[in-house]
Amino acid sequence: MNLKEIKEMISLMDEHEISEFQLERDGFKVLLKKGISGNVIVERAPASQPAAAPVAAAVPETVPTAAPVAEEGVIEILSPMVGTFYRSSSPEADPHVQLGDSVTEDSVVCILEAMKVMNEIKSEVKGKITEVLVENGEAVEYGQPLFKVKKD
Amino acid sequence: MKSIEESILRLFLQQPDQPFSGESLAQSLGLSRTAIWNHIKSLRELGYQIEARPHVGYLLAETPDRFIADEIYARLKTEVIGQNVLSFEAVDSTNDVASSMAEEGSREGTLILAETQRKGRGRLGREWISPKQTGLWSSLILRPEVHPSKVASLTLMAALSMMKAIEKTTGLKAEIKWPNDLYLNGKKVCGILSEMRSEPDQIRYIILGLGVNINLEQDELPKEIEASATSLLIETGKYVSRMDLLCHYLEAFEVYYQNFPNDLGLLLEEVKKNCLTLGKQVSVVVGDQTVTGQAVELDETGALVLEKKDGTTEKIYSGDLSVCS
Repeated sequence: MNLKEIKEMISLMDEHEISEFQLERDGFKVLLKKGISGNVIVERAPASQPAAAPVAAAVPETVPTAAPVAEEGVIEILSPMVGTFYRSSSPEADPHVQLGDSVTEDSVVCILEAMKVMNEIKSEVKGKITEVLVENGEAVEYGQPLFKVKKD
Repeated sequence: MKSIEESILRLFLQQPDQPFSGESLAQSLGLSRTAIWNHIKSLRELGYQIEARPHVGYLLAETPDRFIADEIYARLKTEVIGQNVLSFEAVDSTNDVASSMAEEGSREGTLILAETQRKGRGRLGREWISPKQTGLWSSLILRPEVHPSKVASLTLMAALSMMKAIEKTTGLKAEIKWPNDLYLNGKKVCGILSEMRSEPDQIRYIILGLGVNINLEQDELPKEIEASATSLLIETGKYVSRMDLLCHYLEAFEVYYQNFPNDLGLLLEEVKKNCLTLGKQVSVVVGDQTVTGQAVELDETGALVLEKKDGTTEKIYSGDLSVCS
């Protein structure tokens, strides 16, 4: 299963106006669902063997905003860009989210900065923050997991 | 839709020092002389000094030092950039206004201006002082259909465009301090702070916030930044036309933007040529870490490549940079 195939599935879904699509193959279970805003949320859960890490493409391509986690119903929020991770909008401010906080699709969970461009990252899923995977001020890579969210 | 005020200003500005009779204005614009008189009156109320000379006509003697949308349209030679202007007396932050306007669907090229900002800000919530009518406090909304990783190029375009605008307006040659501040004689004169909303594979919109200290007097700079900040007035000793600077900036930006996202290699070369950071020994504070090294290169995304003492290199995407030597 690679990004190209996922992209193809997404275009097929678009073409035929399918809102949900599931496929099981090669130890992977792929569930594609269209989010409220028309985003496609990609969930992957291992069927028989642990899933490989999400693709960290050298050349930026379409990368899912959420990734597979072995635990049932747990989603990882992934970084859409290379940059610096901040949990709050200023050092004095409270973090956007804390461990155990409930979030909705629109909740801002953190800010990523590159070249003085601030990018507010939204949860895109409804649930509870179960893990904060990056330290404040740390550099993050493209596709790197930032938070774990247990879906409601 | 053009306003009558814009059309009248356009005529005046095309032929400066040229008086227009009420009759000729009425004819050019297809209005009655009474209507023209009413619009002249409303322009005067906005601060335009329009003299009425008997037997000669109306003459635009002076424009107010204000960002008035109709005058910007009348002067600006662009297709998209700055062709929708919202100019405020005072706002908390032009970036905040621009963000909510972009969320509501404001079109590409929309420009938010304010004569003063109550809560102007820099990186990480730091204060950006914006005294009334002394600077350019602006936010530009763009909706480029490109991957989020290309976003840094837009901030570099803004920096280069303002660098050109400063040179065209004042003759001064500013330099870029990585990532995208502009410096004159070692002091900051312009700062850029952008905000982006994106999908995983495409930018939804970006707000290019840009502030320039134009006509700030020395004593208007707070003590804390006195040694590190300057203004065009301080550097030239003269009041600088804020309107000219704005129009030159927007026009230069549009030229770059028309080629975006092509020619990014050329853009980067131009940045490197004007970058005061490259070749210097620098230290960058990122979060609670400090990285020190020689600034050797900018990568294709504009990130700074530092060569550290041990010979390894590290890419820097953000942080507070200071030049050691």
